[in-house]
Amino acid sequence: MKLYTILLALSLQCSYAQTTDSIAKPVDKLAFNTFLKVYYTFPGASGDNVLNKGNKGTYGFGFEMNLISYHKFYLAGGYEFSGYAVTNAALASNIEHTNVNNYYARLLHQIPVDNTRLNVSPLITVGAVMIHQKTAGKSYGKQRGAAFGVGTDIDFKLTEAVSLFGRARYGFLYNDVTANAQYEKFFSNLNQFNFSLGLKVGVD
Amino acid sequence: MSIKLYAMIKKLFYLVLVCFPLTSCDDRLDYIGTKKIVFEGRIVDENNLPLDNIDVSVYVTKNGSTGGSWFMYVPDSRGDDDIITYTTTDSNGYYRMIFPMPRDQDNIALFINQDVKTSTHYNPDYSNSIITGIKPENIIDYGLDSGEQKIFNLDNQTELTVTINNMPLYYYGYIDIELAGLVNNGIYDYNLPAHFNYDITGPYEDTSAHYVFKVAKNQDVVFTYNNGIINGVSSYAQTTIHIGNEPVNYIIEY
Repeated sequence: MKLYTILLALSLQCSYAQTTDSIAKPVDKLAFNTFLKVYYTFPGASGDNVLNKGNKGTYGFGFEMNLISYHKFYLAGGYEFSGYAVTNAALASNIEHTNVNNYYARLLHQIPVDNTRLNVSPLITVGAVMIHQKTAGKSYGKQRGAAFGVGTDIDFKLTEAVSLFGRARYGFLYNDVTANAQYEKFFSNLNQFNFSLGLKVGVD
Repeated sequence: MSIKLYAMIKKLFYLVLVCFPLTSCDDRLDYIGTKKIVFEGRIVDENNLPLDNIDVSVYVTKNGSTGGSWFMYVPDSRGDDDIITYTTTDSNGYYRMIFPMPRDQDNIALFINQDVKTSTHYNPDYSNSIITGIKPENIIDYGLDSGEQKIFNLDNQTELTVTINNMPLYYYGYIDIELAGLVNNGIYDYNLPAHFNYDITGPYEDTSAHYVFKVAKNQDVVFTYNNGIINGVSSYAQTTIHIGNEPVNYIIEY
């Protein structure tokens, strides 16, 4: 998976390489501004809920395409997959995998640290979540709902068009589960805590 | 290879391709991911002392499209099954298991101290039992509390043989029975007043049946059996059998 992510990022870098010189720096007004972030994720969870108590993060990945910018605010659309392995069959059932799919809009505010290479960018995400429990090819049902997140990106510029970045994001998932009132929140209010590493390709 | 033979093989290949999905998909269990069910209860021994580290699991089955199961909780060969959740009892004998609601199951059963593939603490020193025939309507407010279920130490075991004579011929020596009490390998139907117990050892005759049970010593057990059909509804008779320290032979004249 890592290899695929890196290959995808490199191929995108090549395609951007020819156009980098011609891309003008955006001025501080509303502008269409496309750059891509692809990343590998270390999924985690926290709190008193089934994702944290009955599962353990395995691997994940994501990508997001920035669409528009205004001053130092950047709006993107993205997708993130977080894979978890069930560790407690009494809580999460005798199923192998819990897959969390986030579809989100991301707004970040870029704060240059040294005006050249390093940016710190607090961010929020708003979107939808789809949780799918499965063992091999057999499905044990899906849950859908709303998802919100807060986090921070740290970007380190390698070239004008390519940056390395790390992300910490805490997610609040409100998936549609009905259960006995005593357990309903345990299944329908989940908290993700994901760390990601990836490449940003394109000019701010 | 002749063209005719090649065409025939090609047709067969496509036939297999078309038929395989048709035969493999329709008998699978399906679940409602948005509904979570809680099964809970407590396991104690014959002296009402809590038993910890006893395996408990929930077994869900769906029969294949070819027909029903020959037995109460096992699907037929084309069906599907899942041990959908499992756990062990805590230090006070309590257990709690949560699983997604099955959508199209034929049976839900609770396994107590059964040696199955998910078992981590199967205890061969204690009896085991199955509570079968659990239906969605038994699950109230997304939960089912089975209360206290007793199993017993097999050191404290003896044998009960029940013989029923003069049964009507139309039963073929096979009637609904239930033994309530401390029984090893007991299978209890959650809803029916009587059930088939798989410890029937025979020999079968047209007008009599023999049932052999492994039971705990020093208890009274209640034997229930189908004693006729009135207006199309089965009627049942009950008899209490005292078990002491020795094996018991009990005869019922139908």
